Amino acid sequence: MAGARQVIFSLVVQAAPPVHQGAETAYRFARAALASGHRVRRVFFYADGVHAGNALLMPWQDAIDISSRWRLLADREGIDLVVCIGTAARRGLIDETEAKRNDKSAFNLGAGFALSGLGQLVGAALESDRLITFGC
Amino acid sequence: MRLLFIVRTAPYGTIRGREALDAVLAASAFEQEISLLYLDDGIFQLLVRQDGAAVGQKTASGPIAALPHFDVDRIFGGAYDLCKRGLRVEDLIPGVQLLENEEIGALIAKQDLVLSF
Repeated sequence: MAGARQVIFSLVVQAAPPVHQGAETAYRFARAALASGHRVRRVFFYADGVHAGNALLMPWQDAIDISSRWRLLADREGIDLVVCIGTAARRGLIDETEAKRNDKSAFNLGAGFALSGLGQLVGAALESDRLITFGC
Repeated sequence: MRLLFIVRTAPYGTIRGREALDAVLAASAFEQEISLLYLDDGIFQLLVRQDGAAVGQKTASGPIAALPHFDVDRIFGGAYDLCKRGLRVEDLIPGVQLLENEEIGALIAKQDLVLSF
């Protein structure tokens, strides 16, 4: 890819795995972008997309575990995985801090994912060359 | 930066329109140019004559009408979407600017970020 400029991408995932393919398509896009020498700064999981961060997902045997795939890719490539705290709470996806704060008996946010606000999406848009959405 | 939020879903049946408003309000804190566009069944969010109390929900049009107080006053509706549903501009809350399809295309083309609900 001589002479091509490196593009900084951020991604937004809005559809829930495994019902919708969006989280997986986003993952494949991220891998393709990285393999082509581009960067993926942040993935923002919003609305139904927050379910990608659910540590309790149990996919079919012949399906990929999208939550772990994202965690491993993010860890290897230094990608921020951000789950929108408000939309996640409404969908019953919380971390330990939120569970304690709201008197909930359990928490289920997977390792590698962090809860945060919409400011992270705006920040990603400001810091990236392109912002691509998946699953609307 | 220009942010556009498109709502294509009717109120009460799903929470998408309400989550769109949460996103609009959160984004409005960052002092960027925000636009909100109602298309397809999203146009029903803008009706004057609706009452969420009948289904135990907040009436959808109230928070939309309050957006100018938060400096969000670029609120648009699809003219064709309105007409296709047998509605007229008089059926909508005030402050909504109707756009023809070409104008919608031009609006979207100007944006840095488009989120669809």
